[in-house]
Amino acid sequence: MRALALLPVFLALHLKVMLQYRADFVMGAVGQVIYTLLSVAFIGAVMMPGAALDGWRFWDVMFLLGFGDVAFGLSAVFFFRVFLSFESAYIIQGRLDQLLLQPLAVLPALILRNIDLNHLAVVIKGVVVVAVAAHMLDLAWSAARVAEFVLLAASAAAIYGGLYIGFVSLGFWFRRRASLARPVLSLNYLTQYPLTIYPGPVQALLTFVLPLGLATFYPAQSFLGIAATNGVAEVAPWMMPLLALAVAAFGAGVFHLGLRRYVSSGT
Amino acid sequence: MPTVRAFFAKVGAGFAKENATTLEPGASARFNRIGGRSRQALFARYMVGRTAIKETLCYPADVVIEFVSYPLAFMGYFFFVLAMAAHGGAIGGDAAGASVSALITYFSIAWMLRMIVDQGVDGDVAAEVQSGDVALALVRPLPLAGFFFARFVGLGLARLVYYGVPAWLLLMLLFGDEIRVEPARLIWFLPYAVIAFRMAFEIQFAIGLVSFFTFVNQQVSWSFDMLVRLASGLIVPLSLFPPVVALWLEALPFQYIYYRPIQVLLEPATPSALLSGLAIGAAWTLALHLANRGVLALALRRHVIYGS
Repeated sequence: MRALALLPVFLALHLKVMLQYRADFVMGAVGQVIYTLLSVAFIGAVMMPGAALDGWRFWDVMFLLGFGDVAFGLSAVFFFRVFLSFESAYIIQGRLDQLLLQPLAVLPALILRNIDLNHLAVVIKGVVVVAVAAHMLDLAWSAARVAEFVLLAASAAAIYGGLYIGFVSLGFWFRRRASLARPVLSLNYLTQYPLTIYPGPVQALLTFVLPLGLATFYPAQSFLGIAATNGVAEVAPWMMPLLALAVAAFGAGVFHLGLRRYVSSGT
Repeated sequence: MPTVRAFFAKVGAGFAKENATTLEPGASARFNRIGGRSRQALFARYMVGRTAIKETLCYPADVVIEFVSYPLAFMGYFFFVLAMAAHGGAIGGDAAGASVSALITYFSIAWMLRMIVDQGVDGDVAAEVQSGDVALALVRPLPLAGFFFARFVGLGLARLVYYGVPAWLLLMLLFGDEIRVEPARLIWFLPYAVIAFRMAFEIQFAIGLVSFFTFVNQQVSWSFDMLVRLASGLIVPLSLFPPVVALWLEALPFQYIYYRPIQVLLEPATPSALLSGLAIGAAWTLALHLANRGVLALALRRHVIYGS
């Protein structure tokens, strides 16, 4: 609760920092637009007009892309900086010592200190892509549908966050300079396409082992009302918050287990 | 016949001897002036490159993590192309004329090149500027750009051996039936690859120089990388863009990093066309190099380092 009370304070603080580097934020937003153009260009170049992949048409794939951006962007605001630098900065360089001395639980303190509002550009971009795709698909928006979308996106973001925290916590056991973030981040690229294009083992990996696909593909499939094919499961929207809680709790659990093993580098 | 090692040992002995007698205050400036023309500078570059390779090998876990990251990042493109081909019998959209095999081969080579040239020089330069360590870099008996390029070459070789070749083998294992390259065309591909390598360095270095002016360049780096991916044909071959867009992109230098070298491997061309392409690529690279030198000189004139 204390961390929640501090959240607005830290958000204001990080906003001030971001405003010091406005050009950097603007360039980041421009980069997001270019990245979206890249994805659209690739899918548009390869996908036959009117063609569908297991029920996924061009604008369905775009919706999935946008939904993934909203979920990833939300998680990135709170977790991405931790994800990229935890092992090297906090374990090897010993900055975790500072957090251990502060009157706030370590994990919330770590997250609050590393908020990065630049990733709001990803969220905004995702919302725009979703809105355009929904318009092209003639999706009708109502208050309930908007609430469902927000809940699904927040759940997906929590799943990402739980996974990130779980992964960086491995640094307590296996010390190294490079973060395990990159392979996991790379896996995230796979989830911008329908999972059905991948061989069974890859689908299983992205659903059960590293549920990045679970976070975005299944909610989007359900939201768009696309029938599951080829043995692909359907996940009811109400299950997503529960799954998110489970993954987030798992991530926090691994972190606290690892924290018991932490030995300061003394630097 | 003298070996490369013996050659550099001889050069190094000369460097050490002269270094002992001439590297007094002000000597580094003189050293910079003789730059790439001297054997001492060549030896210094060799040592920097060698150190970069050794640094890479100090952290085997990093090598594995980095290697695993790339294929995971680009596998989606392959599976998407294959899935479209399987569902429609042929690739659709703008790629209707391209065969699955040509696209898979294109992406394989593009991502292998990416694994070698994507070294984050921009981030390294920015880190030096932000930490103030650039002051130390500037007193080295080697120009700043020369130092970073020597590292780039060393890391490029390490990346070729530890990432590029294994990635190629992995891709052959997964999509070997679709990957087709004519070995005879490798003769022309290699000089194009050299130009791609140098141009990739110049572009990353240029983005790194932005940090002299803006201090923080993380988002600039990321955005520019996206632009390079788009304009170089890494994600979509330029020929698959709408004609107007392709025309604009072909007027820019970025195509020489991925699109042009790969086209040399995939498409037949006359020697004169290949030579003129090579000359234009080299001219663009030289222009970028000169522009970087100018920007660096300007940056150093206005840069202030607060010592502590």
